[in-house]
Amino acid sequence: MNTSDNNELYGLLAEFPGPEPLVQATAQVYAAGYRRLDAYAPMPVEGLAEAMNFRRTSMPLIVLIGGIIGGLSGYLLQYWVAVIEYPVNVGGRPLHSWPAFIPITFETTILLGTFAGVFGMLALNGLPRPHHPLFGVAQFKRASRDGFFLCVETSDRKFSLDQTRDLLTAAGAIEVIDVPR
Amino acid sequence: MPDSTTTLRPPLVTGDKTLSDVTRDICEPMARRPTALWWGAFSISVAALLMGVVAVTYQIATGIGVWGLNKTVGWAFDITNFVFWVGIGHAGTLISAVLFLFRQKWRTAVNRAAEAMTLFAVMCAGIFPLIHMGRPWLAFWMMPYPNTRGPLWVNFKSPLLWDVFAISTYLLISAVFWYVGLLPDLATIRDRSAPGWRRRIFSLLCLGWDGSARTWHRYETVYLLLAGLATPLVFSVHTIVSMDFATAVIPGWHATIFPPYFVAGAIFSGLAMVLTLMIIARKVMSLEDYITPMHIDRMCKLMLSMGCLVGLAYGTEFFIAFYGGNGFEQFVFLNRAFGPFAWAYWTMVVCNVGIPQLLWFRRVRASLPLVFVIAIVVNIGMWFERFVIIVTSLHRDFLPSSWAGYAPTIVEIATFIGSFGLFFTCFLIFCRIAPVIAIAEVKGAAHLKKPHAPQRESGAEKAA
Amino acid sequence: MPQSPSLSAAARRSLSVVSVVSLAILASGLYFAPERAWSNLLAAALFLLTIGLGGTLFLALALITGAGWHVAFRRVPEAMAMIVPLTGGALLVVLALGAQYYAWHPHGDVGTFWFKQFWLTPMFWFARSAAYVIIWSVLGALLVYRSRKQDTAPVNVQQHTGNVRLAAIFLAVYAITFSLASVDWLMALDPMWYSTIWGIYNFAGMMVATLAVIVILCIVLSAPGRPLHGVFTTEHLHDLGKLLLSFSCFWMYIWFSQYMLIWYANIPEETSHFVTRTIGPWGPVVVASLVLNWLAPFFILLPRPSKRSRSVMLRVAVLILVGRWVDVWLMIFPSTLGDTPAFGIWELAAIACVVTAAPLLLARSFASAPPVPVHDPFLPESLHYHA
Repeated sequence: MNTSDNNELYGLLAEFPGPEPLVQATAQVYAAGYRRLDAYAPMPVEGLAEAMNFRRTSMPLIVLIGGIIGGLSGYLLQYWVAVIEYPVNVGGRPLHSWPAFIPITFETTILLGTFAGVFGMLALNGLPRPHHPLFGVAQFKRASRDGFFLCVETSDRKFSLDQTRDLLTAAGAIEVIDVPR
Repeated sequence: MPDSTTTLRPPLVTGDKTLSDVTRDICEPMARRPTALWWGAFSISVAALLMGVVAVTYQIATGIGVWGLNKTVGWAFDITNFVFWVGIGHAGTLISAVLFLFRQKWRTAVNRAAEAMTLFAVMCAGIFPLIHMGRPWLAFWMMPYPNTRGPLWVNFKSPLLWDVFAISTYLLISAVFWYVGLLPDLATIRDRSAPGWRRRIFSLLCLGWDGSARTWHRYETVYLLLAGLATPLVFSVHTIVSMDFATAVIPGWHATIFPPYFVAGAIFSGLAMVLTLMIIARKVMSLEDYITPMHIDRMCKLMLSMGCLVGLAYGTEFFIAFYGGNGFEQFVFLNRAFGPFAWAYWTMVVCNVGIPQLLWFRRVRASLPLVFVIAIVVNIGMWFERFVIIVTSLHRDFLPSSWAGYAPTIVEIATFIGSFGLFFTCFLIFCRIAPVIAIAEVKGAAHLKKPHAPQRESGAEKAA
Repeated sequence: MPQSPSLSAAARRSLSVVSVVSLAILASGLYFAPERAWSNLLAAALFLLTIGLGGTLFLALALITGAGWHVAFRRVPEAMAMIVPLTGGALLVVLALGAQYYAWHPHGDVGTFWFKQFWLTPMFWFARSAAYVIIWSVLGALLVYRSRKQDTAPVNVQQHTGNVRLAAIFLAVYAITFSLASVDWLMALDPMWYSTIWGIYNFAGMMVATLAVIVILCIVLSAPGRPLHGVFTTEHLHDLGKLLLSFSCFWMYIWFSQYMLIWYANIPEETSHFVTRTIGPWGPVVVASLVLNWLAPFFILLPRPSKRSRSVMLRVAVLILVGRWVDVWLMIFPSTLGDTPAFGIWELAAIACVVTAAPLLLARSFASAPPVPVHDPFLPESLHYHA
């Protein structure tokens, strides 16, 4: 393994002719023992995340926790205001009128659940991210239009410029590009 | 049986497009100079908006006594417009969230524009109750926060406060949902733009989206979860709007059917607005291959079914008014149908229940001019539905000595026209600066032409 | 396709014995404890009829939405649709036997308003009830007949369009007739009470129960050696789970809308319904209904793995059916019996009758056609379906 390569290069980027070749190649490279790799496509591709053994995300849990916090705080706020801090008789209804508190509790549940989901997704994905080494590659622009790419990073323990390049070519890459850091 | 299956499952995108064709077709109109047609529409919208601004300035400076309200009819034009606009917003969320959960792939052609429409419609809706407060600069008093006024807390038992929470939640979440959906497409525009200010802006807006498989995976999961949250939300919003009326004891307002009935009506009116906008947009932006007659047909069917549900609710209300044996209830409904506002009532019935029945015929659904006219008719009918519910229930209540009439003043009408100005101005600007069709979603859902191998199924549905 | 009967002869025999015996007990109850026995008979007949009608509704909704995923197990809702004539007939017998329990009967008090007197004229009322049952039976039979006709000949597109049109007609007719039926059969038990959402509330309860029955039948029929083995997959189960979850929430939404609006407005002639039910001995039953129909299913079905697990789904479906029974019970008993719940031999007999009659009827109608609609244009899509 050449250390100078690792310093100058972020990784190797291989382009594939379509979503299915990309999925196959990703599975192949993953099976060869590479772990620091990622695939890029202009749209969600079925089976791609599974091909690199990335299955479960903690997104549902984050949303659930956000929703529970939202619901509890919404209800408790109403209870505290209407019963403890500022009790007012409204049309003879009990101070703790739970049916009347449900609508707002519902709204705060949805609100915080959604926010937890969106900000959680952005945080886990490392967004916002002003720069990425891949953005320096001219061909990578097509990753948001019709290009299907697989990138193996130099930080992978198995990375070796020549062997990895051969592997990517053997997996059906149209072109293998060096990605400068 | 490949033959019958293909006939029964028409393609989502016509014209043999490749992936890059899709990107080009949708992004190109944005890079071109606006057409004369766009400028024409834009100037009319801005003129209407300016008229609204003048009217709003005048009524805030003078006080809302310039409206046609009186002691008996305390809600009329403004709340009608409020409910009208909120309702229109609902179709956007329906198309983006509910149809997503039901895996109606055809939604990808219209969801982006429908979500934008939701956002603008809710903004328009917000104007009316805000002005109705009389002192809109104190609107922040509606928020529950520790304050130096006592502290004086809001009344959580009031349905009007539920409205504040529902509408602001709805606005926030619609905006978030829309923006999250836009992220991949903003990256597409970034990558298409030449280096310069345009590219820099889109680089910022797309938050550095790179389309990696991990990103897409989390993105899809969260999109699905958001759809799951937005679906009950869209029900809750118009439910809470309906509770502004239904929690009262006013005959004609107090009906337990109001929540689902309002939700159906909201989606009905919203679909009519989506159809109106889409029929124009596909022509003006030359998107005929993406918004195909099949899409129009599906939306017509959905609109027809919502229209029938609304008709069922009208019938149920009338039936129960008589079955229930409450004299005041009966009076309200007879007064609606035969009283001074009978013209409004029958306009509503004809526009919402009568004319949409034409959509049962495939020939009608296939004719764009006819569909366009029917959509406009439904828009009118649904406006009148809210007017009928609000005004006819109020103007003759329990006490005949306090009966009154109602007619809008020129200020109210100008404000209403102004809200249309705001809506269309925003929508026209949106058509210029953002892709009107969700590019990444169309690519995922449609079976596109090779050289890029056909996609088997949308990954978006995989996460389900 | 392996064709083993869904019920063994021995099982069929013992189920028949129990159902006949419990029906006989209930019939004798009409003499010993007429009000309770009749209320139980009404609950049982209504429960069974709405499950059948729900099957028809499921078929129609699937056709109209252009769904393909359900085709693999479509014979299950079809089997349910086929029990409508029999259960509807049973309901008509029950109604004829118990017209006097409707308070508006000549001995009761209908109020003086002409429309109510006219609408609840016993003959008109009964004729209407018969008309609903006949219309549902005919349209449901047509839907099933057209589906079975596809088994012999390859399907053409026109035939499919015809099916969709029939489904649209059924849905339009169903919406009106079912709203009226829920007023005539249930709301009229309490002559002074009314609520405009009642029809939708009944629709929601019916949908949840229907989905629960579809889930149970599909799981049972896809066990190894059974006709749907390998045809009904985890993906189908997952989707049914999502539908069950959403309709359970829809039921809760409608329940809350009705309760909250009546509670909030506090108008005496409306609150009477909830005063009888939520205050006093019926209160815990209402709570149980909310837990069984929404709270428990909601939290159990929320995680993805539980919607894909046969054992969890089976249990939730059973839970929901118990909840539906409690819900039907709550709609009838406080109106006919008054403020005190009662549970004894008559209630047990009714439950035994339903639990044994339902599998008998459903197994018979399921066995009357090939278990998979082999020529349906959407069958390949449904078999290779993965969400």
